[in-house]
Amino acid sequence: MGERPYTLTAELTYRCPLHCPYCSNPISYDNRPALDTEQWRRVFAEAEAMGVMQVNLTGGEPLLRSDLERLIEFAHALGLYTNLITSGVPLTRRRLTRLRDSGLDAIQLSLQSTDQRVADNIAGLAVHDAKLAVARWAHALRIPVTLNIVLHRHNIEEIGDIIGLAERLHAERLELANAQYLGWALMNRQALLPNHAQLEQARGIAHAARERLAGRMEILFVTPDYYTGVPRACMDGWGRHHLVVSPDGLVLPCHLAHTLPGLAFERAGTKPLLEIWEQSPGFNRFRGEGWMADTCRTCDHRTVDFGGCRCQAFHLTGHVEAVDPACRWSPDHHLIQAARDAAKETSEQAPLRKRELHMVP
Amino acid sequence: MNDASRPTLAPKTRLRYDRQREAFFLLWPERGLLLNRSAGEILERCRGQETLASIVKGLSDQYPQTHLQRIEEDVQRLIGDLSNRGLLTLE
Repeated sequence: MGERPYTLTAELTYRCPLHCPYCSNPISYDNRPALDTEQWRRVFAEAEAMGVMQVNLTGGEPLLRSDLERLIEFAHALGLYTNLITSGVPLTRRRLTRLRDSGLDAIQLSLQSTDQRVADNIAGLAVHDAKLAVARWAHALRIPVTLNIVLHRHNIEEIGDIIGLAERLHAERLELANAQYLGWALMNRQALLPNHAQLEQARGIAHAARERLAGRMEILFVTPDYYTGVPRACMDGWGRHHLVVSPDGLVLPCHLAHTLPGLAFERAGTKPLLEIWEQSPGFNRFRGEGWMADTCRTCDHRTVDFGGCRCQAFHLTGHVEAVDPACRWSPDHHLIQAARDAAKETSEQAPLRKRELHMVP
Repeated sequence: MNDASRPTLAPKTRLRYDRQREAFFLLWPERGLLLNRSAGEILERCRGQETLASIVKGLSDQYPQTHLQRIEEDVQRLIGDLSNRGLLTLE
């Protein structure tokens, strides 16, 4: 028997009122019906039975599901740690209270900037003040809050202010999440990728704050793989600890795995979840080291990064088995270097394409 | 930290017994810590009811074979570490 998953990421819908240009959802997807309440309940129960302990309720915007309370209640009854990953829109204090009373353990709230104008411009909607209200309600209702800010060249210099805001909002955790350049963010990379100086400055400020706030606020800042020369251990390795179920029920090792060509994934409900986890060809495609190029298979780092990110490898090189170009030893590393060089030059005026919901049949 | 401190797991955490791995996990958003048996037993007592002294006494009663000093050291190390990480408070 191989690894068992610890975490289920339940993407309850791809719909979202916001239009963030770095959205990690796929740019296009099949227009299949979303799983209903009963189907999600089965997914939760089967996931728990196979060892999952945490469920991330995400999307799109999970608040758009009117059955969210019932889903939380059910996950909570199974003893799962429930974490709601949300933009905070649309939400009322009354509904947040209901979500808490259904057994919600924690909320991860996204902010776009500390500056309302910048924030609303990135979100494509005037929602900044509403989000701050959600953070205050959550604190008053004693729901632990993680603030999540996707960092890019338009907000990375605000990092000191972001930390200050997180302190004022009594966040337990602050994720300073450098954008991952896939999907919408890859399309907008030229406008979003910070330059090296911006990044180094932000890292210094984040590390100092981490020391200062130790024991009070957990600060996460991961240097993006575009600047480390080392691929990240995407999902902690393909099909090792994470299980993702897409809105229409595809069981995946990561939220973009179905954008890779030639991989077959299965739908929840058609087979036992455990069988899909263990036997689905898509899951087994990049488990272990057999699939790796020699560059990886002979590298000591392979047990640390598990061969990096397959989606990044494919979306940059066109080959699913390519060495992740973030790696300095990748024959395609020049692609990353070129993006970094462009970031040195790029004016702030590079166009941003906002996320829209395309339904591709 | 002193004998009268009441260690309390932070609200964002949840202690959960995992029957697959037959061990306790400390869970918090998007994170989990696999606990060995003694750490699990210590944290089960960190609910804000018991003082540090009473936690040590309870464990010492439960494991009379183990040196009291060893138990004290284990408890203090774990509680100190988790409190530095914001996963536990000392009331």
